[in-house]
Amino acid sequence: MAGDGREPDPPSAPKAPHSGKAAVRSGSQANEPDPLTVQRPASDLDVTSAEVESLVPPHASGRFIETDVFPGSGHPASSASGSSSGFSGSGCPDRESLELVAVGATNVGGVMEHLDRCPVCREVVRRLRADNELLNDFVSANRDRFDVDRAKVRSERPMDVVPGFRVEGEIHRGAQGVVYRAQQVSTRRNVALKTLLQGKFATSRQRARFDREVEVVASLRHPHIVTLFESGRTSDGLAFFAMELVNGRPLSDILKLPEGVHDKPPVLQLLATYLQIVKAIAYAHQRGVIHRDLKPANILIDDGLEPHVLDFGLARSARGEEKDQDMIEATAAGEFLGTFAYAAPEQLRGNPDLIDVRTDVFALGVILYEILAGERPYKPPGGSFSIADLLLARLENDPQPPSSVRSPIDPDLDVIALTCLKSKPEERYQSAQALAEDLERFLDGRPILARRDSKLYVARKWVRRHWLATSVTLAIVGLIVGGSARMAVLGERARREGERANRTLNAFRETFQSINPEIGRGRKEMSVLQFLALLRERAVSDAPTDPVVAATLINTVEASWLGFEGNRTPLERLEESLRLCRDAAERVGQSETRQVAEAIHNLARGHLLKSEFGEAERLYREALDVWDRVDGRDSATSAMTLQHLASCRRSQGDLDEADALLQRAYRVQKDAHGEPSWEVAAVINGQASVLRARGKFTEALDRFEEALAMIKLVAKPDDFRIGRAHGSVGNLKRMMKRPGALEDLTIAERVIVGAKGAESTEAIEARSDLAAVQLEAGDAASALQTIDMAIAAFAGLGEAAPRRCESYETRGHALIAIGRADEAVDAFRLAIGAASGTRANETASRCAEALREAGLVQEATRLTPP
Amino acid sequence: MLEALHDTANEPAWEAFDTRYRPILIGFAKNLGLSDVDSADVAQETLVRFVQDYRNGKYDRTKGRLGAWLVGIARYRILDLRRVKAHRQEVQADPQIAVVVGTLDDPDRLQAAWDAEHRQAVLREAMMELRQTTKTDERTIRAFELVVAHGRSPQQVAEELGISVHDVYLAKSRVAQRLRDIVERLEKLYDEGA
Repeated sequence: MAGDGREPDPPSAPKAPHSGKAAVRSGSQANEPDPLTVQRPASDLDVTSAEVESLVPPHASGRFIETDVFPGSGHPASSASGSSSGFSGSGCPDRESLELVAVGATNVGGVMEHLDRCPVCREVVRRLRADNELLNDFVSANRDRFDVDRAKVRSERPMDVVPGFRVEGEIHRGAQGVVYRAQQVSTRRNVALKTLLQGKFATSRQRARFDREVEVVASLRHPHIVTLFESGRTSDGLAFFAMELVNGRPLSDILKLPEGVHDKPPVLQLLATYLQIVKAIAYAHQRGVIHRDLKPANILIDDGLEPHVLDFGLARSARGEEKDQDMIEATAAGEFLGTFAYAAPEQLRGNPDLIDVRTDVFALGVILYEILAGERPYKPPGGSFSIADLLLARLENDPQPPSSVRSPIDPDLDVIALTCLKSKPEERYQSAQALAEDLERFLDGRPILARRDSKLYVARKWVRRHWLATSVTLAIVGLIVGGSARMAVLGERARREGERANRTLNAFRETFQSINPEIGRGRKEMSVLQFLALLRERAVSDAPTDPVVAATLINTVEASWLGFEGNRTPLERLEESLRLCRDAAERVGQSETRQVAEAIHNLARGHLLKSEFGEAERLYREALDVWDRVDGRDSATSAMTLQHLASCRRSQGDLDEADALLQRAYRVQKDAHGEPSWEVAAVINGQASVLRARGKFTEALDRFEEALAMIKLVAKPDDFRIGRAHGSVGNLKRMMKRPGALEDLTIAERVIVGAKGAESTEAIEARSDLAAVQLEAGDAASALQTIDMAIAAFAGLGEAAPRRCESYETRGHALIAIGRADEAVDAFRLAIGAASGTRANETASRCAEALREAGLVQEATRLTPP
Repeated sequence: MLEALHDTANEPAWEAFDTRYRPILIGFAKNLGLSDVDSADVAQETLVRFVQDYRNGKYDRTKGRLGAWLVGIARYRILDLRRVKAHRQEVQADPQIAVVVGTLDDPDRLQAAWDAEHRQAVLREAMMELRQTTKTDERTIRAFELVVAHGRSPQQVAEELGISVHDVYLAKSRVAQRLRDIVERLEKLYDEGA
């Protein structure tokens, strides 16, 4: 390779007597220093001089200089005389003349004629042209760099960057700022002077972030956190701050040293340093500061192995008032990769609400792991390279204990590191302080608190807020994780995914704003349905710009909407949603995605709710196929589809298949969620329904009660699902004439109406059931009151209203029971009108019979079918 | 470098591979006439697919150069893009892609587009190396820069640097030769994915 300093055989060894360069050196140029050639390795001539030798024309004069790549050794064109140009007509023209011809000049006296005669000079010109072409290509390929270099020459004089400081050199140039080594003139103190990289042209966000770092660092005084000396802006607006100059190396450099290198401190010593880092972070936490970007590169270790934590540029208040876009922005800017290894799962999800001091505990865990094991805890799974896979590995699995990577490591240290790395924040140490204390216990030889066999923190019960709020939140999380899941390692795509996540959050924020009565269309009494309509409207209108985000949004809204609308959900809308999801999948180059499976599932549910079992069955099976292909057979995502298909098959009478499907669902849900969980409870509920359909009522009741008990363990008392489970138990008891039906159905009615609103399908059904049992219990007045509330909810629902027939009939019976039999006639007529087919006849017979018993024979006769 | 890609944890190898080939792929797609966004997508998909294929042992070095392999993948990615757009009836709105797809069956055109971008990339990488290998030869590179990059006359430059005009020409030839060596070596590396 050229210029690598190796000395090959002298390539320019003379092959023709007249081209001996030594002779020339000692001749015309021996006393002239040649600054351009003095240090140049001989290998410069490897090719050319060899070629040149063969080109040396017989009439060469011997005026040439050493080692020119110009193929003119021994040729006058390589004349060292330099300044003289032109061609006398005798011999060969000089170099400058040929250079001129090479760039297109034709009026160089006599040269063109000479070229006609002289193949050597023709070759020289050809080579010069080739050189020029290559150089021009090279310069235009690097145009920006030549220009940048020129700019750099100007900016590389930072002496006067900030008045009052004398800059001595650059320490670091990061994504955000430049750090100079400088001296504060007034105090002669050596400082690290940090300025914003973009200087005066920084954006307001960059400035804000910079200011925040100043504010945060200024608020912290700790021997292991760099101290801030001074901050401000120069008169022309450049933001800067001066901090303690630490003479040390980043921890990352130390960790990279191979084992056994003499300046790599032993692990035990590093642990003592690490403990100080943890304590410094605990100190920051106590002052309400979360670092959020802890990594070995941000920790300087001085010669005494004392740590100094730097770079609070991403820090934010632990009280969390910041509107936090930084992580997303960092992702967008591609900065995320460097930090990725230390980011906690909740950071990867991009939900700022989830970030708290335990996020720093996670990063500290990664650092501890690296100190112990000599490598990072998370490695991409085999065959995979995408962030998506890394991310999933991180979200789903705990890492191997450090001792499995390198031994010997004390089992207690394994436990401490793995406790920090729990993916659920509530299972980690709850503060850096707690981590510091456990580590001290270990270093003192006392037993640690986070012992392997006992979870430090019992998993807190999942707090279920209003289920709509939960589903919307999950959608946001899903979008970000899902977005990341398609994010491969590299650049442009990552930036766009970041933007997408950003847009999604903005879309949600704007939608929420739009229901703020002070600035949007919201009203105090705005219904959830109206809110859902708004959400979907926005998702659909956003679909052209970001179909994947839109598809996920739409599915989330549909699922919620189905919950409220029940059998009144328009299938056209569900079909349109499915179309949007398929388009979105195409857009990202896939034929099938989770969104498609969800949309098919939702459409199937729409049909199921309308009792269109055949179509529902077909669609559920299709959804299952898609789940299988997207996530693998019997994935957690497919469990709900399995359960719904089971319910569909039960309604169609295939109880064996329903059972089989529920068994699969049971295994999946139990693996995914454990017991007790509402998911497993839902499967048990489904199994109970099959038993009931088989006529095994006692067993069915046991199962329903089991499901109810489980749901009560995991849900709040006003959770809709508790209401539904009471409903199932109560109705079966009523059918079996068991005591307690009234109590169960009373609870069911209260909870369901509270959760879903009086006009929901399920509320109407719950009231219809309750009224019936109240009537049976002899409380006709309550029954009438209850059923009238259900009937009032029919208004505007038309024929889509559920239980119309039963409700009117119950009303009629209740009226008779309280002595208003004449009013019952109308109710019965409505009941018969609402029924169809043979059912109408049965209803009519029952109603007529009731009227007859009440003494209204004539009216009864009119109701009796012909 | 390719060998290192087998090691899934080898992030530097990834970055190196990506740094080297992504700009070429983006330029290649743009060269064929795709929009910036579509080009970025095609580059992304191509890299992803290449790596999958490579890990699955589908890339056989003896069957052709790395560049040709990447061009082959990129070609399918572009066709795929067209298919997706056609499905969304965007082709009419985006006639450019139809034109691009028209060129996909012309191997010479594809090769030319690739070569142009590839050369661009090589020349950019050569810049770094040139800097390193000519550290001791500051004035040579300075003379070259002033003449070729900044368009000054050799006489001016000679005066400025206090050397002869001939030395300025000499510097130019020297840099050209050095560059030729570097480019030759890099071309080989790029073709082998080394």
